[in-house]
Amino acid sequence: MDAATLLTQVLNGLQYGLLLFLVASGLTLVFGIMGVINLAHGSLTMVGAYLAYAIGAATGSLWLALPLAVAAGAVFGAVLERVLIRRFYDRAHLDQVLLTFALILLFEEGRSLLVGNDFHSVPIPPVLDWSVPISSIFSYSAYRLFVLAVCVVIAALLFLVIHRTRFGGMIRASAEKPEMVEALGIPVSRVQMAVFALGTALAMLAGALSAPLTSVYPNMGDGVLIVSFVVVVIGGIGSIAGAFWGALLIGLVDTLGKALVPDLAGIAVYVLMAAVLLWRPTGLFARAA
Amino acid sequence: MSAGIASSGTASAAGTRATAPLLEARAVHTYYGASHIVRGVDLAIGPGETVGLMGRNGMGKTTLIRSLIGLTPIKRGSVAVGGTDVTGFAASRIARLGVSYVPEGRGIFASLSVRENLTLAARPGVDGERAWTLERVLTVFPRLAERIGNGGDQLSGGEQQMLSIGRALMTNPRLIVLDEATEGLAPLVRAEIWRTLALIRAGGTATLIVDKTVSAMAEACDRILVLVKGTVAFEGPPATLVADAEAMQRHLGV
Repeated sequence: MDAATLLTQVLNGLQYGLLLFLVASGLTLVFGIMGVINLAHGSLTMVGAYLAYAIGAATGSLWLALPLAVAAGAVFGAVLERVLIRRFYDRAHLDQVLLTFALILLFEEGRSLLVGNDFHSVPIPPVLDWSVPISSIFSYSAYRLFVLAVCVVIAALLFLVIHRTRFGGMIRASAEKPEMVEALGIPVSRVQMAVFALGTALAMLAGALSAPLTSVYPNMGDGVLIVSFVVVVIGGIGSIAGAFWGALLIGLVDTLGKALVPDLAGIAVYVLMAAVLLWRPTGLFARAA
Repeated sequence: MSAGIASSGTASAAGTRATAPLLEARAVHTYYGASHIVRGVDLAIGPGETVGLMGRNGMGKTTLIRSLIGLTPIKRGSVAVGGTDVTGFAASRIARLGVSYVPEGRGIFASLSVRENLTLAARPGVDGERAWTLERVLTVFPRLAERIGNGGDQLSGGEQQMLSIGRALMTNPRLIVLDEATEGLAPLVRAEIWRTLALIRAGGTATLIVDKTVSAMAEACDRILVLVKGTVAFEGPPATLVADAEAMQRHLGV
C-alpha cells in the first residue's frame, strides 16, 4: 500500500471514528446518567439520515438538513424521554431493552410507510463535491474533510459544555449522586431530559452528516448501534473522553483493518474490545470506583 | 422554645411572617418496604431556630430527615415549609423553598472541583438576597480557598465536610439540615465545624442538627428532640435533657 492510499485510509478512519463519537457520546451519557440501555439510539441516526434525504430531495440541498436534524433531534429526544423513557428508569434493563427495541421497530415501520424500503443516495452539496489536493499525487474529498471538521468542532463544544459550564457540572453530578443534586434544588428529571435530547440531536446529526457518504437504507442504524456499544464499553461507560478516544480507535482499526487485512476486517473491532477488556475490565476511561 | 414561634401576638422586628414555623411536620409516618421507621413524628422549627435531633443508631433520625426534605416519600402525615404544604413534593422543589441539606457521608461530587461543588446550586435565597457568596464561604473556610481547583475526591474528611456545608450555604437557605456533620473528624476539625454552625445561627439561618456529641449539642441547640424507635421520646431545652441522667442513659446510652 502506497503512502497516499494509507493517508486516505487514516483520514477515512478518523472521519468514521468522529461520526461514531457523535453517536456513542449520547449513548454513553444516557447509559451513564440514567442507566438506560437505549437500543433505539442507532435507529435515531437512521431517522437523521432519512431526514437529510427527504430535505435534500425537497429543497435540493443538504444545508437545511443539518441544523434541522439537530433541532428536530432535540425536540424529539425531549418528548421521547418525557413520554416513554422516563417511566423506565427504575425498571430492569430487560424492560428497557424491550421498550427501546420496540422503538426500533416503530421507527423502521414509520420510515417504511413514509419513504418506502428502497436505497437512496443523497447527493453531496455541490460546494463540497470536489477533492482537495493535498500533495501532487494525493487529494481528499472536500465533503469528508467538512464532516471531519464539523465533528471536531462538536466534540470540542461538547467537551467544553460538560467540563466548563454549570449545566455540564449538573450532568456530571447527576451521573454520580443524583439524590444530592436533587436535594440542592436542581431537578434531576430536567437534567435527564436535556441529556436525552442532546444525545438524540447528536445521533440524528451524525445520521444526516453520513447520509451522502453511505446512502440511506432500511435498518442502517443497526450496525451503528453495535459499533457504538463497542465504543462505549472500550471507553468506559459514562465517560465522554472515553467515547472520544474509543471512537477514534475503533474508527481507525476498522477502516485500516478493512484496507490492510480484508479477511479479518469483520472481527478486528471485537478482538480489540476483548483485548481492552482483558487489560481494563471497566474500559479505558472508567472513573475509579 | 423560642418566643418568636410560641406566640403570634408579640410581633418581632421581623414582622408577622416570622410567626409561622419555617418547617412543620405533622404525624409523619415513613416506611422502608414493610418496615415502619418513622412513627408519627410532629416537629416544628421556627425561623432562625437551632433544633437538635438525637437518638441511638437505627432510631429513624436519618429517615425522618429524608422524609422532611422529600428524599424519602412519607406514607401518612404532612410536611409544610414556610406555610406551603410540600407533602409529596420533589426534593428539588422543597430545596427551592429554602431548605438545604448536608448529608451523612457529606455527598461531595468527586468528579467536580471544589469551586464547581460550591457554585453548582448557588442561588439567592427565597427573599432574593445573596447573603452567602463564594467569597464569603471562602472567607469562612480558608482551607477551601486553598483547594478551590482540586477535585472533590482530593480532600480530607474535614475539608469535605466544610465543602458540604459551604455548598449548602451557597443556596442561601432559610434552614440547613445537617446529618452527622462532625462524625469521624479530628477534635480540632469538629471544633471548627461547631464554630461554623454558631456563625450560621448568628446569621439567622435555622438549623436541624443530627449529632451524637451531647455537650456540643447542648451548647448549640435551642431545643432537642430525642427519637426512640421512630417516635419523639423527649422534646425540650437541652438543659432539661442533660439534667435527666436516667433519660440520657436510656435514650442515648451516655
